[in-house]
Amino acid sequence: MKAIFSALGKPDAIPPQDSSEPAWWMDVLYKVAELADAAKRRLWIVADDLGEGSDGPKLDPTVRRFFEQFALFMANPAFAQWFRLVLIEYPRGPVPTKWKKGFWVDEDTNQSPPQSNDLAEFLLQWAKKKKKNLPQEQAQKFAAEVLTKAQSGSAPGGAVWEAIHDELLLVIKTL
Amino acid sequence: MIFGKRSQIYDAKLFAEGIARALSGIVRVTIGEGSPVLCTGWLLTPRIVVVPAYVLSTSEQSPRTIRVKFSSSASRVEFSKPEDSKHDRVVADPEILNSSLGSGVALLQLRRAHRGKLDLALSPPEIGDHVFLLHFPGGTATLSLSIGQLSSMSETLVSYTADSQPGSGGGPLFDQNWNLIGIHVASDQQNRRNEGINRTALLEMFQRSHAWKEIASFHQLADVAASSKRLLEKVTDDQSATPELVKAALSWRFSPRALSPEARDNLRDKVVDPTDDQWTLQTSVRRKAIRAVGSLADLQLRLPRRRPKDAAQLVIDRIILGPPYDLSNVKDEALPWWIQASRWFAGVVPSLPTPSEVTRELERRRVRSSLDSLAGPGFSGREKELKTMRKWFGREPPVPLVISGIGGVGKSALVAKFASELPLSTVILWLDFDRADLAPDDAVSIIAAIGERASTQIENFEVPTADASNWESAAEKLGRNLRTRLPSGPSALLVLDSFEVAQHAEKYQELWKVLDRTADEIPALRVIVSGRAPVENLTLRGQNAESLTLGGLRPVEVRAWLRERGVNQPRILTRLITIARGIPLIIHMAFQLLQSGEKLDNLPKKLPRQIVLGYLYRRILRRVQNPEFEEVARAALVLRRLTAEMVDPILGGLIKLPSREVSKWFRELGRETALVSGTDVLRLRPEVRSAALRLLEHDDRKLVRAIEMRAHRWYEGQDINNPEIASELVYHRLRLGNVKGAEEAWREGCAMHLQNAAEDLKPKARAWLNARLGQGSAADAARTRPGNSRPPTQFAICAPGAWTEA
Repeated sequence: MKAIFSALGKPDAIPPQDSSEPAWWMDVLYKVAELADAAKRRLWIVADDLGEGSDGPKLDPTVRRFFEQFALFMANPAFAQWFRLVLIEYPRGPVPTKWKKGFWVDEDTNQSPPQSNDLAEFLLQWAKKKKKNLPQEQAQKFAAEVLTKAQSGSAPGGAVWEAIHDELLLVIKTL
Repeated sequence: MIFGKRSQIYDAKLFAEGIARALSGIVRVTIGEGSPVLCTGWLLTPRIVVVPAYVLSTSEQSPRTIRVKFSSSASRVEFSKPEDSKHDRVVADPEILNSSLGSGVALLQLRRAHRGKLDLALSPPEIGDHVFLLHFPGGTATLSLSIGQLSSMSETLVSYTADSQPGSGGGPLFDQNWNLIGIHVASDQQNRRNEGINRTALLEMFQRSHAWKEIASFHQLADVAASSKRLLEKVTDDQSATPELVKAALSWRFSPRALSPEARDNLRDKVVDPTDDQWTLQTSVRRKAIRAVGSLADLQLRLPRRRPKDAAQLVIDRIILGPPYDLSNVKDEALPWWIQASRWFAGVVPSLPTPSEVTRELERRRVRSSLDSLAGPGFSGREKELKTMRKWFGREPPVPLVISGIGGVGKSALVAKFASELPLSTVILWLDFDRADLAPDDAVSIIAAIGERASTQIENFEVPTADASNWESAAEKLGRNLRTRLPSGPSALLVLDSFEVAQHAEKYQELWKVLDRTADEIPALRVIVSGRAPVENLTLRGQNAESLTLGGLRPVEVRAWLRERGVNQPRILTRLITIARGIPLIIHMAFQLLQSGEKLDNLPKKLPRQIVLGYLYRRILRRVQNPEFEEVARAALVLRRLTAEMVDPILGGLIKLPSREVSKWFRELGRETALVSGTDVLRLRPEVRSAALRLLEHDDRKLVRAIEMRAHRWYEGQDINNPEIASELVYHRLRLGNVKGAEEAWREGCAMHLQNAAEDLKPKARAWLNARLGQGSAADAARTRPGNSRPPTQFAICAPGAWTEA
């Protein structure tokens, strides 16, 4: 919460808790939206490590519950216009029952193996941002090379994405 | 009409600019003396010209005698030295670059730099696109343009129908935006097409050139060559145990400013957010670094001497201190940090609790700490209600208890206080319907929620797996599992909190089916349903529910609460009691204002705004389940009843109504049970309306007035022989101060519909109504006399319940 409020320049504006935890979270979320509206500032909020390892949760489960409430608020367009919420490593299986279809999408890295085109798109966007010219075919070729290397050196599943991330991080330094 | 797959209509001005730009970079190349070889070339950089490689390999002339001529007719470029601006010489051996399939180019280094730049296309053309070839056909000095279409593309070549002749070789081929897509090198007479090396093959050749850096820099090309080379290298992570990395791994967070520039560079891509003031190492990097250190003893040696002393860092410090680790000695606020840290050090530090064990300890403690937090440290009063609840808890056979009351009146706090006083062995199953993972019409979510809370409090509790097809048996099994683990007598409390949210679901009654199956198995279970709306006809296990309607705190309780906090001045006490009318939330807000330095005399000015924001909007209107109805709900507070027919004539144009037809949404509005009851005729809950109307008037008097005027007109047009309709006309006339009109509209039977209406009225109208209802006092009678009116207590709001002091 502190991080979110700080991003909006109001680290001390977190409402005091004078009700149940979920009701307080609603107060918090309304306040965040109010601040974003006042500042006309859209936020991308990315929460990672929301899942469990073999030895238990990676974070305090309250963090996940808060973001589940946050995600529920994204069904309200007036609220959602200020935010993009990304929940990474959210546990597989049923999602909270109140998350109705239509305001969220699921991206399962196990079900969607990395595609060369995605990497090429990333490289093209990166080049554009850095004001560099990168021909499309070269981006595709380069993406294929990155993918091949990442796949050859990593375990199946999520590790491929990590390997791609690491490879990309290394190579864009010199690109 | 567009004939091809895509439009071939061009912006004429852009087209002209494009061709002008292209013309400036074309040169005619003469190789040798006497009978020289002639071809077309183009400027790749200010000093490098590209020609086909074959013109050098087939020429018997010395490459040292290559001259280039910039066509004056073609070029608009003015060179820096006019006397020799049209000619230049090659000053070094050409660099021959061959593609993997044979065709290649040569790069010629010029003596001087020239202006004129061709832009490389970044995306591939499509078959059928127009292409443009600039060239010197037949070796003539006239720069020419051929237009054709792209007919095919291969790995290294493009084929097209633009005309060419000997001497055209080397001519740049452009797309419709005048970006370079190839270089003309050959003619395929048999297949009637011309061929060029495509730009992908060109770029690959350029990347192998000695001049690549110059080329990449001039065209701002991403240096794919360098990155590809890096990609081929075997990266050895030899930094996993560098001192600065280990130091970072043993610090929860650290300031990058405290690092040397070199260390900062090394760690930048290993932290979660390099733009943050405080850096935190990525989990995978941290774990790798800790594993690289290898042992607890070595970690102890490498713990940074200077480190912050916040709760998170203290957890790392404690882990480094070594076993034994007794979670029962860890403070509540430290436990969440242990979940993360115990994973980082797993496998290196012995005897660490697992994240799962830490989480269980944390959640177990929270069952009780959340009750204390919800009841609040300063909970006081409500003795009568608590006594009722204690008595209820011991009843056999058990019956459900429904607690209802408006938002902010303290329902959850009361239940939490009650639950916190139960023996520690009592299992508390608190289900809050505000939560995203709980829905009354989703049996699986209810079973999962009860199971989760039970497993937190009961060691090795088995939670049955439920799905949509087996929820009945799962609910029964859950009940049986609980029964076997609970002592006899009342030893488990199930709280269904924020129940008005559950009631919003169309099929919320499904919940009772699940609870009946579960509770049937557990004689020790007691059930409390707490919400803003009453729950009609609730039975569980065949027993009718008891009801407890929670009103505001009694004045004596408010006085006691304020005195405990040092508010003793009679004037302040009276003012706060008057303002808050018993609602704990408002008492707290008023008290906080005073604490923040607000002067008592300012309270009438300041408090209502705070209350409007904090109470009316936050606690009443924001609790409307469908955000689409927020404005309707706000406006409807002015009315006592609402039908679909009233919506457009009374509210239309004043507020933003849902975009659908009224008939489509009106019944759905009826599911906002915290605000209304009924289906075809929605009646605003009097306790909510009573509490909110004056606040709304204060917030938007104009809107309230406009709605009242319209309501008045609407009821005038209805059948006022119907006492209920007549009573609404009376009400709105009184609200507008029209006592005479109210008198005229009065019918027999109105009284029963206006029993609680007087509190919404100004003194004169109130006195008249009270007299009509037979409730008038001497004071009321006096007020009805002209010249005796007294302004109302401006900011009083009314709460239901045992209010005895105003």
